[in-house]
This record gives sequence, structure tokens and C-alpha cells, in this order.
Amino acid sequence: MTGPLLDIADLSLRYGDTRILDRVSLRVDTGETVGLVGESGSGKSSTVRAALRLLPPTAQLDGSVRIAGRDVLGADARELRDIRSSEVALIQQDPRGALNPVRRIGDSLIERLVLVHGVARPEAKRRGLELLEAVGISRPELRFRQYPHELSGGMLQRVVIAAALTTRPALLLADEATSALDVTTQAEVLAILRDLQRERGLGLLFITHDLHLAAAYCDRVYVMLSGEIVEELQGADLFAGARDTYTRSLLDAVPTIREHHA
Amino acid sequence: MSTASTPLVVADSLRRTFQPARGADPVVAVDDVSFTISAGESLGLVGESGSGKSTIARILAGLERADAGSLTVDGRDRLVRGRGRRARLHRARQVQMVFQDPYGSLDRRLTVEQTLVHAMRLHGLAARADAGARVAELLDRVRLASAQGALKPHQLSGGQRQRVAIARAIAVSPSVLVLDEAVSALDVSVQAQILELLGEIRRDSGIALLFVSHDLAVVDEVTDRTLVLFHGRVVEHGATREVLRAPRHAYTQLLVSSVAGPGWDPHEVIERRAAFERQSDAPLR
Repeated sequence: MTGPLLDIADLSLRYGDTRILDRVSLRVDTGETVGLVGESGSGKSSTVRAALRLLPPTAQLDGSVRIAGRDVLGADARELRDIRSSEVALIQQDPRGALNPVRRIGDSLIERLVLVHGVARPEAKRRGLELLEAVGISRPELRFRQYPHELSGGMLQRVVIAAALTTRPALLLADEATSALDVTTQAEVLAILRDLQRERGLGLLFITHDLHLAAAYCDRVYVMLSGEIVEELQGADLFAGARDTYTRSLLDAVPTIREHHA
Repeated sequence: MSTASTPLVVADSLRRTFQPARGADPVVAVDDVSFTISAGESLGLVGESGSGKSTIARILAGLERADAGSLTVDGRDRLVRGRGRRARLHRARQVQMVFQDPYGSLDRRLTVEQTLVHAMRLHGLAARADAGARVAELLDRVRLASAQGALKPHQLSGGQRQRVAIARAIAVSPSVLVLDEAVSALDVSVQAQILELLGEIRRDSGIALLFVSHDLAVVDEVTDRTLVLFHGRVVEHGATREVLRAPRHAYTQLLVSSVAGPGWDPHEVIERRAAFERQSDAPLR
């Protein structure tokens, strides 16, 4: 495949007369970590949901979205299901909401492999256990049999990441995926994601409200305001290089215990 | 009234144990925790999930009991509970609490004005005649427009709702305001405004603040002193500036270095965490 893993061009989203996204363009390349920052209601989550067409039927979409070169907006139901189940995975903030509370961790973990990809259960289980280990979960055999309420939030989010990786997607969309975790756990999950990215050349779109984290963790960062992308910067340049007035005001509002932009 | 020699809040050797399930080992959520807060002072409680910070906040607010230790506010014992309505109301009025989610803590059927009047009436503070004036003053205090008094929670933004929760808390003139992750769910620009508001309230009214947060940078903005908690115990206590900029305890050092900033590397945090766990013989939860 050539070209970016995720290529969103002039994407607009409206509900009737209400404009949610206005000509959003962004791309994520192989192995790249790209941040999407902005305040509540700026359109970060809508961009991701629109890119996967996870929107109510009243949504009016314009523009184009390509994932691994495949056209998402023009795809028929079958093609769309195939893109969603094999090219891309979405990780959201609340792992407890993502996992069925009355099913064992293992069953949720290998569900896509078994149901969508038709992998035999023993083989799926073997791969699932491997992935639990890869995301740093101790005693994977035990966890496989346990229920979500028996695991901490940090462990559950790692399970969700493992589940996202079972079908070997090329692109991960992380929507505030580590925001609810303790700082040390967040670092652990992010380190695991970075390792997996390097091993597998995964592209990562990292949505966060945490500007310091975006600056420290992302190669490039897009800043959103009222449904538009107002600025694109190198992660390392976010605090020093931002020129847009809105980006500056956002950066100035962030409290910090370090002295670098005081 | 508290005098210069006795702080407003005196907590001594607080302890609280929970039994997670029948037959399971008890969890010591708060273990021998002592602190003081003077009038007009702001104390931060930081630590990760399971550190006991919310339990301490809830004990101070009277929402949770302590198994051992003592706690006084303005010289009055808060752990030995008077049974009468007057005693309960006094306890509630003395320490008010603001939670993370104002949508969950406000009555969605009431307008802002009704919410404030309701709180004052409960404590016999608003005669019908001057309730309106008092409400106007409170709205002004938390920078809400007087027209917003007629709105219900769902018609307000998250930041506005949190202003209402703060207005309701200060409406009864408490001695202490307990804030449990009160700005954690807000956007940074809104967060900055609420933090400024809290600073003003503290300066103008002399209310003492107990500020619970996982966000070290926010704690740095609004507190004078900070307690760092780990597994229910205080591992470090001092002036906030020093605790966060020159942490002495290994756990505080781990927490501070975990906060993303220039040069932050998640792998380094993991190594630090592993080193801490080896050294302290206590796994992080």
C-alpha cells in the first residue's frame, strides 16, 4: 500500500443546519503518532466517528476518508464492515464500557477473531494470550478466565488494546484512551502502545485534551476549534511554535509544574 | 472561632478500613493520617487511585465515618455524631463539598435560583424577603449572569454547572470547602476560570479548602501545602511548591516524573515505577 494509512480530506459533517465539522483534513502515516487536540465540542471525537461512519443516519457527510487506501464514505455495508474489522481499531476512554461485564475477558478479547475472521477457538485463544502478554498483563491464563470487575481500570484498558490488536489493524484511533488512568499507569500503557507501534508499524491517531501529553508523545499535532483544524505543528514545537491565537490561548491556560512556558 | 494557635481543621491519626467482600482481607483505605488546615488556607491531597484521598475528603465532609482517630473543625468534634437534626445540619453546614460531576450533584428539576434558595432555607439562612438579594449576590460572586438564575442544569455548560455547585456550597457560609476532583472534567480554559474563582473565595471569605486532585499542576495552582498519599498513608507533606519541585519521597518523585512535559519518556516512568515497587515492596494498585 502507498499513501497515508488515514487520509481525511475536506471532511464536513452537518446535522440539518448545524455544522459540526468544516473541511477537516488530516493524515496519519505508517508508524506515525498524530495528536488531535482541542476543547470539548471542538469536533475531535466527531472526526474519528465520522472517519468510521459511526454516526446516526441523519448525519450529512462530505469530503473523503481513506483508511489504508480504501474509500470509507463510498463503501457499501459489506466493505465498511471489512474495513472496520480488519484495517482499523478504535480505543475509547472507558474500558468498562467497551467490555461486556457478564462475559469473561477472554471471550471479549477473541470475539472479533472468531466471529469475523473465522479463526478456530484454540488458535484464537493462543493469539489472545500472546497479546495479553504483549500488553504487559501478568498471569494471562488467569485474566483470560476472569470478568471485567475483577481487573483494575489500567489492566482493562490494556485488555481493550490487546483486543484491538487481535485482527492486526494497521491504524489505531485512540480517543482519550489513557485519560482516565493514573499517571504512572498512563505512562505504562503509552509505552506499550509505542513498542507495539514500532514492532508493527502501526499508525496512531491520538485524541487528547492533555496538551503536555500531546507535545511529549506525538510526532505531529493538529489543533481543532469549532469543527475546524486551526493549526498543525510538530509535537515538539507545540508549546514554542504555535502561532494561531486560539492555540496560544489554549496553551496559556494549561497549568504546569514545570517552568518551560511560564 | 479558631484562634491563631489552633488551626480550623485538626485531623489526628485518622483510620478507615473497608471490607471489600465477606471473607476477603480488609483494605486499609486511610492509615494513620494527620493534618491541619487553618482558616483561609488551602491543603492539597494528591495520590493515585486507591491512595485514600477521596475517603479522607468524605470523612471531613461527614459522608464517611472513621474507625479511629479524631477530627475537629473549629473545635467541634466531627466524628462523634450528635443525633438531633440541629447537630446534623450544623455538621453539614460547617463543611461543604463540591464533586467532580456537577450534573450528578445538582437536582435537575430545580433552577439555579431554586437550588441556591433551597440550600439556604435548609439551614434557615434565607428569609423570604432577602432570598432574592442573596441569590443575586451569589450569582455575581461565581460570575453567572442574573438571567442564568432561571435556568436548569441541562441548560448550562459544564463550567457553569460547576459554578452553581460552588455557589450552592458557599451559600451556607461554610468554614471548609472540600473539592474532590472538582475541576478535573473541565476544559483547560474553563478550569483556569474556576481555579481563579476558588482563589478569590478563599481570599475574600477565609474559607479553608481541602483540594483533592490527581492533577499535580492544578494542585500547584491552588494549594499552599500538600499531602502525598500512597496506599492510605501520608508519604510526604510540605509546602506545595517544595513537594512538587523538590520531592523527597521516592513515590512523590515517581508521580512528578510521570507528568508529561518536555523530555518525558513513558519507558523511563515504567523503570522508575518498577524501581519504586522493588524498593517499597508495595505494588501500585
